[in-house]
Amino acid sequence: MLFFSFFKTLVDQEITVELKNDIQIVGTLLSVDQYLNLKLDNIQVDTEKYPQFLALKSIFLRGTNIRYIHLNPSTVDTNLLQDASRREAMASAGEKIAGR
Amino acid sequence: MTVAEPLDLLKQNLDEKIFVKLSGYREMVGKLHGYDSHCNIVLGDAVETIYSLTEEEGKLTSEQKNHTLVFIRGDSVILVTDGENL
Amino acid sequence: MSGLKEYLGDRVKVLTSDGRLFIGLLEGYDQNMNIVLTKSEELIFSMDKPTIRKNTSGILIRGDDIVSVGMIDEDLEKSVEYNKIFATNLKTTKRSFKIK
Repeated sequence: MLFFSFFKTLVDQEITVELKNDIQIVGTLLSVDQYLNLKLDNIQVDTEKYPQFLALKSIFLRGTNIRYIHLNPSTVDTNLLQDASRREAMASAGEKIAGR
Repeated sequence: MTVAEPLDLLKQNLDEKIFVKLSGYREMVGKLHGYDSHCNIVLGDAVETIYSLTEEEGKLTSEQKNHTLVFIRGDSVILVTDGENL
Repeated sequence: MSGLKEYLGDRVKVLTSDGRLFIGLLEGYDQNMNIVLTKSEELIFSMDKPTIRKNTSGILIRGDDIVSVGMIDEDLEKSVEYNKIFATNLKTTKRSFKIK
């Protein structure tokens, strides 16, 4: 859930997604769901190399095919993210003790 | 601090340099800013190394890429270790 | 939230994990993201022949094998000269032991 919330804070920001088939897609993040499927708007792809993406503006990307998401550091508070990671780790440890 | 479960290793290395081995003959070294139980990882000032074999001779070559801030999807992660003594 | 709803009834380009591209009307989808395209065709790109358009009338694509679903901008699509496009096949997004 941490990264679902994290990516929700990045909606309307420009991100670069690298897929597992090496294609890079730059676009504005429109939405994200719990599986980290992404929707991007105004996408830019090297269509010389990948004509498959010609005439597309808005695209839905399945999370499982994503390798990396490159972020702009100015849009991310890394201290906040570290704290959130610690908290999420604590919460899941608590769940285990509670027998969940 | 002890490592009671595998992911504690990531917790201990928050804000520290780590080394991540990834599928597709890739490695990444960078500062750990975030992670979750799926091994999704966010690294800062990361250097990625991609290994490949040349077509003719089958010689091992590598190329490097810099990433200022990158989210790595956990399903590509093979191993994580601390990156201080690299 | 779930991204494909807005694309229902629109012409979309679907990229699959084996690197193939399908165009069609998004007739429907389910929670596993299996999708049905009607009036569909497959675009086959290669380096030695211009793009081949193969009629597939209607198809169901398994959700697990979907990489992306993009909404076609019809004005842009009309200006694409597929008979002049040569491109290499896309890589798979699945783990492969083939080395470049």
